[in-house]
Amino acid sequence: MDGNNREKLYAFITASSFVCDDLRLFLDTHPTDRAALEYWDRASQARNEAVMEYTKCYGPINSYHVENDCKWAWVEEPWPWEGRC
Amino acid sequence: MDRRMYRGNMGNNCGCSRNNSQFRHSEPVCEDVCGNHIREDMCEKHVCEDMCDKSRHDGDFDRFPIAMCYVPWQCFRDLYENEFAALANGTLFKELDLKWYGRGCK
Repeated sequence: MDGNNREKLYAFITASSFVCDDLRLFLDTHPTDRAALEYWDRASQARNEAVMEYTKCYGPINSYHVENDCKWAWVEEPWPWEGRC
Repeated sequence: MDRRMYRGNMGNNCGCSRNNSQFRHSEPVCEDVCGNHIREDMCEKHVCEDMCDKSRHDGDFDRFPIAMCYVPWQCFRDLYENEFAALANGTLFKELDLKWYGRGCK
């Protein structure tokens, strides 16, 4: 059950990160588009909250979010060739 | 789209550097496409929609100077319903979900 939630959360992070990347490309050429800016605020907030929740529950997604508690937790996550990158 | 290039083509300068160009017109060709809408109020929906509608016509490319790139102005509209649909289709914008006609050189 927990693994299922983990996969769902990771899938949401993947999809919402893609949306933020696509939005960024649009905003690069439409920097004052209000609707796009509002969408960015919502999308990036949802994405960041999901990353925070995942990091808290399952560990860091990127090395910048590693919190050293007497141990380097980054290497405990699966490596890319182990099914996740 | 590179907005700097877009700016460079607007106004009374249609991009034709030669006075005897066959593409010189009394009405600048670029005026037909972007008008004078590149301002801070360009994010207003009606302005953006107007720009998109103007740039949608594609039947008079012969009026444009050669060797220049033209990209229709994109509006923030027609989004996929959620992030999963966007990822599955490779874009957030339904208007950009186009068929791929690229192929190899063989």
